[in-house]
Amino acid sequence: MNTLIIERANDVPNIILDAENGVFEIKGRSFPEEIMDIYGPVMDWMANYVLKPNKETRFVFELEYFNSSTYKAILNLLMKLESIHPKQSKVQVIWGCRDRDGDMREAGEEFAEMVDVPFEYVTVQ
Amino acid sequence: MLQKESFELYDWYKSLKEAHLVLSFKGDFNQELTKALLILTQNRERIKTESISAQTRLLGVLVECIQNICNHGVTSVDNSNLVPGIVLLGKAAEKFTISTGNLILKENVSKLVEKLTKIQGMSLKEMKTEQRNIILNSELSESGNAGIGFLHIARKACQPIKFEFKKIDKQTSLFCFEVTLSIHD
Repeated sequence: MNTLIIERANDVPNIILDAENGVFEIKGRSFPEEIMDIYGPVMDWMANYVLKPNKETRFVFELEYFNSSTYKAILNLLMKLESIHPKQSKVQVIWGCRDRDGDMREAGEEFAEMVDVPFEYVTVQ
Repeated sequence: MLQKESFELYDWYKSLKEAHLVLSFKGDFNQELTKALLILTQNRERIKTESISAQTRLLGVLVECIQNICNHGVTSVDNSNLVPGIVLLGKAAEKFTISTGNLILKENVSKLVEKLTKIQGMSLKEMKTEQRNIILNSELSESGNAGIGFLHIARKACQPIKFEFKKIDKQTSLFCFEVTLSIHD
């Protein structure tokens, strides 16, 4: 399937959804003016991906800060990952936080409570 | 030479300084301005010196407050994406205080009062549960904030959110909102 790449901007994270190379990541700040302009294509891509996912799906989040619409969009995305784990794909969410960013770590833990997929917390630059 | 009865810039400068303001803006808001204000804020020395956690918390709440103005404030002209408003960010006594103001139609005041009064009376645990319930039972809309914007803000605060409405004219009121965040992790 096609790779989806959304380039980073001040209010939009860098998004790469590349099933062929097993790269799934969302990195940066997220507070787009129109949430569906960014996460609409992401969800469409995911809807397609879950029909025939890779054996393993390692999804990386490294967010600096985000708005409440993004919170909802991330949850939607995680629920899609949950729908394929573990039978269709072994999913692992990598939640990256800057060193001592307790607030972002807490956000990851909150998402982890709401979906049944394994989370791994890593420190990033 | 300034006329004596003209706007006294020095008095205004002094009052802003006494309020320990890090950022203040009054004007027309849109997404471009939102981006600029966030960049400006995160590059201020008085913000950069705080912990990463405090910065994340502050910027996440600040963006939500400003986007509330953009999404829900009354525009100055029909079909305009410019929303008049004001945002103040102060730092004092180990706390950040964000204050915003925007016009709101009179007919929307009572609904907002009800919503915010309910949030003011909630514990952190209740806010978390309420946010979860709303999110799991709602669709992501094209604009707006999935219905959890104020909860998203209030959950980060170190004391109950504050608000008041000041009548401007027959149709509109000024919605004044304030949230205080701790600088500590």
